[in-house]
Amino acid sequence: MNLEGYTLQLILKEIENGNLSPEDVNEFYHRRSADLNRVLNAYITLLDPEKSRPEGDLKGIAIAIKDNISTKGVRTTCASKMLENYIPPYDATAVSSLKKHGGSLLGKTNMDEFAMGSSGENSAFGPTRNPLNREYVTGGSSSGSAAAVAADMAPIALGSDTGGSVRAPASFTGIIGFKPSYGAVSRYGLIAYANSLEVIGILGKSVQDVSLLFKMIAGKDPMDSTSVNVELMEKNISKPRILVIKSFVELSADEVKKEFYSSIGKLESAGFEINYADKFSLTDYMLSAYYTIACAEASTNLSRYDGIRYGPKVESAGNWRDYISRARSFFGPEVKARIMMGTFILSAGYYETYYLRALQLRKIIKQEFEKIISGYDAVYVPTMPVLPWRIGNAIEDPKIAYAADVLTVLPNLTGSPAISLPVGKVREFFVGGQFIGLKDEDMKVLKVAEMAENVLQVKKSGRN
Amino acid sequence: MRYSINKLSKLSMLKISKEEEKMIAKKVQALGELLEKLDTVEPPKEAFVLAPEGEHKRDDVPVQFDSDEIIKVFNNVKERYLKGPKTL
Amino acid sequence: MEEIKVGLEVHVQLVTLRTKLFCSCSSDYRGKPPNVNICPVCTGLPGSMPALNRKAVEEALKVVLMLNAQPYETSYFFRKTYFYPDLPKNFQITQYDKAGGYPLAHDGSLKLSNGKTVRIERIHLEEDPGRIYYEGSRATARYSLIDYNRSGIALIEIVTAPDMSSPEEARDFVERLTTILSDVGINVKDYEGALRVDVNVSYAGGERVEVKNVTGAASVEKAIVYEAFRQKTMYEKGIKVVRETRAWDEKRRITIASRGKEFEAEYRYMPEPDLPPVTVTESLIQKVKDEIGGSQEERYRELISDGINEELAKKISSDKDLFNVYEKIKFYEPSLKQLAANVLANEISYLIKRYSIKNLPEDVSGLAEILQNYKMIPDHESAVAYLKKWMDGERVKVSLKTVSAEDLHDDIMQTISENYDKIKNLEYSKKFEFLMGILIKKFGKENKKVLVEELTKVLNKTK
Ligand SMILES: [Zn+2]
Repeated sequence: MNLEGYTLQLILKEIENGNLSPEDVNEFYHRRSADLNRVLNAYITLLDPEKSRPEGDLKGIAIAIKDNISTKGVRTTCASKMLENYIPPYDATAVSSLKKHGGSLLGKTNMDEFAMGSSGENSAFGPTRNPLNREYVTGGSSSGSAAAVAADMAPIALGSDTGGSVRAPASFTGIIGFKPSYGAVSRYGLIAYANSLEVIGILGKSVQDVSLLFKMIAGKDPMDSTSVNVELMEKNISKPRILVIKSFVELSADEVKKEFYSSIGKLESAGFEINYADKFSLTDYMLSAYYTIACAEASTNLSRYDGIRYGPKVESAGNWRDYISRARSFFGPEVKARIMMGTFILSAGYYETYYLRALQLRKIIKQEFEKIISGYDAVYVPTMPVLPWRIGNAIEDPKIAYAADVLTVLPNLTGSPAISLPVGKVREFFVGGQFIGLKDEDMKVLKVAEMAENVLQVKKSGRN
Repeated sequence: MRYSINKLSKLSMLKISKEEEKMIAKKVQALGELLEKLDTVEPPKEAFVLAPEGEHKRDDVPVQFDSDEIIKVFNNVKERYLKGPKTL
Repeated sequence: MEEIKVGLEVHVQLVTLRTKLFCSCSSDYRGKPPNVNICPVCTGLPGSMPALNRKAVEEALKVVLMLNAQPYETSYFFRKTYFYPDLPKNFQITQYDKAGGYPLAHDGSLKLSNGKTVRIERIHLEEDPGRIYYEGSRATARYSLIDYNRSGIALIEIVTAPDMSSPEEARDFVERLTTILSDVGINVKDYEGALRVDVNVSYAGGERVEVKNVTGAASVEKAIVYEAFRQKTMYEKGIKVVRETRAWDEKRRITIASRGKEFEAEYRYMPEPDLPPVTVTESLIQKVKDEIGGSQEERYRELISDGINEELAKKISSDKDLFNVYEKIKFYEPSLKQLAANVLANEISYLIKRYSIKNLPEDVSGLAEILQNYKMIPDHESAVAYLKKWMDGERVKVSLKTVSAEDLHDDIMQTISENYDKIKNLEYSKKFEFLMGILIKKFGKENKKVLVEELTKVLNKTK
């Protein structure tokens, strides 16, 4: 039995028809994952298939979960030496929702340490390799989830998106990556990097797949005070009204630009109404606002890792300050750099200069985005300005990785839903395009993306 | 923009090894450059939060979490106490 | 003696709450084994998030209103970062009045016994850290022992202006505050360590010195006496007092320079992104006002003016719940107030203690029913049973057929004549027993007392 290219929906249909059993499905993905993980490094922890078959819509199908989402009794490392042996005593709300719907756990996927990174290289467990070309990065930080789905090592996966961490790797591996509205999915149990920006997202093989899983994990959770109930009714759109922000497209490399514009042509001839805005006036400030807020939040979030309660057991010689510093040396360099930058941003005298100004910018960016999108169903721009780079390049020059976030941070700053899908092909790689909507109008962007997916048919190999 | 890697690592209680130092300095430098753009922005009076609408408070009703499960997570335990470092 | 200036930061646990500030763990931690009331939130496990206790805001607002402070319509929670092993996240969630933040309330006041007004700068909500124990002393112990049962308990911090100018005034402030807190049910005296004070003292316009963690009014006075003396001595020797943090040593009754967590004054405040702002609406303030009622003194005066004697008035006014019930009964049926006062101060108070009852029912109609029929209830035991029933929240119906002695006389005569053949040869006690059996069936147990009286009369006459 070979399930390569199968979407989750197809699997569920085949189970319904009696052509597949959940045990066969889980066995397939487990075996394939165990094989391919040696080269792709998509999983940090791969679990043995569960014997019992839970009831519910997912029929016991095992799903890959990013390793910053807490799973009761299954170690959750954040791809950090700091949490190498940490086993959470509780499930994240999103995980318990999936279990309630009959889902089970396939494994915990590799990622950039504490979700800090856009390439998948900053992992204490080694970089994830791109299934399209193993010498290249998968994109991050949900690198393992993307690689697992792209290489048929999982039918679908959960990731998290703080500044593009679901969409970037989806784009680099040629799959679908959905970042829901801020608060649409509970963050309880998601190990925080930058609380005000991030949300749990889904990586899958089709828009319908991610839509199906989204409806299972969405909803207000009393454990997460920032969560909300978004509308989950299917939207009917006959002629999507799309806005392309040219200044965003212009930030992209030529080969990305070319493929992206050609996808616009196809959408237009299929009946999409395409409109253009020359620029988004705050384009130049988006990365500054994003990194200021993210580093500030990260520096306080990561204060708790001191080796006293959990985490590395260090030698207890000296006083508590020595103890804590010794334990905190277990963070990797990217994490240390962002914590230090955040400490700087929040220190007396600089708080007003950087942090409050970043918040102010965020407010203005949100207002401008709401203005520019009014009258349209979604904004359409490339997901990543570049194609995947060779593993190691961004380590030489960190600016490459930071700059690669320029097109993905906007929805995190505004709380908008955004979905990336393959819209073109360059050599062995794909070009990703993203549809961005108004906050809480998740079903609308999902509908638009589904229509675009049908028009563009970039990945013909997938069976539906 | 004035900061010293040394002071920031001390404030953040991070020990940085000789091998890491150069790489971290490079990353901090790159992040610092991104921040400089903010110099031209007018600072606001109030903190801005992406606050959701509606009621977000919890009722004052106890729910018992299985505390033994948490104790299992702890690194060092003595008679249910978490054993921590000296505090002097 | 030169002038001293004293300002206080009073931390008060909201002991009326059943759960912690940001998680659903029980707040009842005193006398418990270590680390039993803990969960991912109050131990700062990765991925956990705070969720605000609604009642904490309401209880804090009671204190705000009692201290004439102004609540902000919107206030924010902030993270205050410092590393210490009793602080599971290495930041404390608190409120802040700078950096774009607003605390729960500002600008209150409290009047001292000598008529002086102490200004209250702000009142805010925050979480308590855990507790650290040592085997032997802190200095010699090889490790610390940490208990997170207290971690996350809801506190309010009341910050005064430096308006007090003697140790006695500071003590008076804490005592007056304690009374005001108990007026809204926050009886800090019943809970060890529920009120802790950081004292700021400056002598002769010099630098201010903060003495941390002083428990109780008497210790506040002693700590200031010592600290003022210490600073005075330095002043007279020409040694400059430096701005610093000291700790109060209760046993030795001195303040000592403290090292440790106060080492770093860099708190790196930032808004807590996991908590939406706290909004205080007019209707919430009204709700809290309704719950507060007046002070104990006001309650006492009202009872006295109702003609209730001093002893009863004292007892009822000391407990706001008892007083509320009294008020409701008075409203329901004014003629019942004297009896209500009696029953509340005696039987109901006894039952509250005996069964450690936490709350009295909102609905007093059951109690009114009992009081209206009180005289007819045959014995004290049944009365107490009825009262207990009401306190347990059950429906109470005192179903008494009211029978007069006159009615009974005829009925008794009739019963005797109907059963004459059966009883004529019985001796007195058997005869009495037989007739009582029939009569009780007919009139119910509740009329036993009057039946016994009447039957005795009748039988004695006919003997
Ligand atoms: Zn708790």
